[in-house]
Amino acid sequence: MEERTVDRYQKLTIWFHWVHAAAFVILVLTGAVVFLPGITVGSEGPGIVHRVVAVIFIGAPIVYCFFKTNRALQFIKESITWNRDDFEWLKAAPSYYFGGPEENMPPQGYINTGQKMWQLVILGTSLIFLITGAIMWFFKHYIPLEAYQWTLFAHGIAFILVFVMFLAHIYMGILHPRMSESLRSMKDGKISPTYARSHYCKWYDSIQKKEGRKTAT
Amino acid sequence: MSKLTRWIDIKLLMATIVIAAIAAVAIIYFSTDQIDLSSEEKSYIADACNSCHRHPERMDHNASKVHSIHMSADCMTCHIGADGLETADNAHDIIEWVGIGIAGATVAGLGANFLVAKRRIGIK
Repeated sequence: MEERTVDRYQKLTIWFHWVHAAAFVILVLTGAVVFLPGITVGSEGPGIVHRVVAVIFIGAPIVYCFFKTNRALQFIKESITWNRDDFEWLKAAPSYYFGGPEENMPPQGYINTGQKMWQLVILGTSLIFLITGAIMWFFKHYIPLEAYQWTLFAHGIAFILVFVMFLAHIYMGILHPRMSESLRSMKDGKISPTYARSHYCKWYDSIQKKEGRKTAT
Repeated sequence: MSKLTRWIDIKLLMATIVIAAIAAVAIIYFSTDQIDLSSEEKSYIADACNSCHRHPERMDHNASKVHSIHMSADCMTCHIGADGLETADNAHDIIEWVGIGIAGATVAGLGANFLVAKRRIGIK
């Protein structure tokens, strides 16, 4: 491991990430009790926990936006801003993640295209969860049961989508041989310059230029 | 950002999470009737169901269904628009199994990816 490091995530961002992740896991477990066939719990406990944690899951990003407004806006901007390199990344990624040559991968900014996809899914499904969850929670008795069932259906579809991406996210963050410093970056917020250059070349070049300018002045 | 500022941010974050949790509990406490039916409502529904289901001579040929004569009086009391329920129920059943299938396929795919990538790259 190189001694010199590059700052990637601030401490508040790391905390937010883990709080959000923990909330997500609890929502998955308590939601599974309702969602999966054959699992029944004879109490309202999981449903109540699901609702409490749902408030944290939706509330945490709002709190984060309050403290780090610019970073949160940047998060949304970088998720929806796609250029030619992103589409090139999509073409080259299957080979790369199966151990193919690294040279074919186009240079990436602060986050790569896969992370952009993950962020988009998180943003989109969170919105669906917020709307459908609020309907099921507060308007259960005010809508036709059929509408309730279809709301539950939409909640389930969003869950399948985000859960599949979540599995991929965990795998990439912890197990994939090429993402060796991914987990570390979410612990202390740092990565090595070699890793930064290899995975986020455009971002690394930009911070090097900034540092160069600072040194020059 | 100094270490002190970072520490304050985290304290604020933790405080906010605690407040959010308390707020969540309060919301749930004041919306309990949205989470579950009250005991009076449960009792009312039980009476409505029992009015047919506990008397075999009053049940329909299909024992699992409430007699059609009592449909509007019993089921429709709670289940407004009950005609579309079966479609929605079936759709929900389908996504349960589709979800399990997709999640299983994803885990298998990631496992295969790990074995191939590990072999070609190696783990540091």
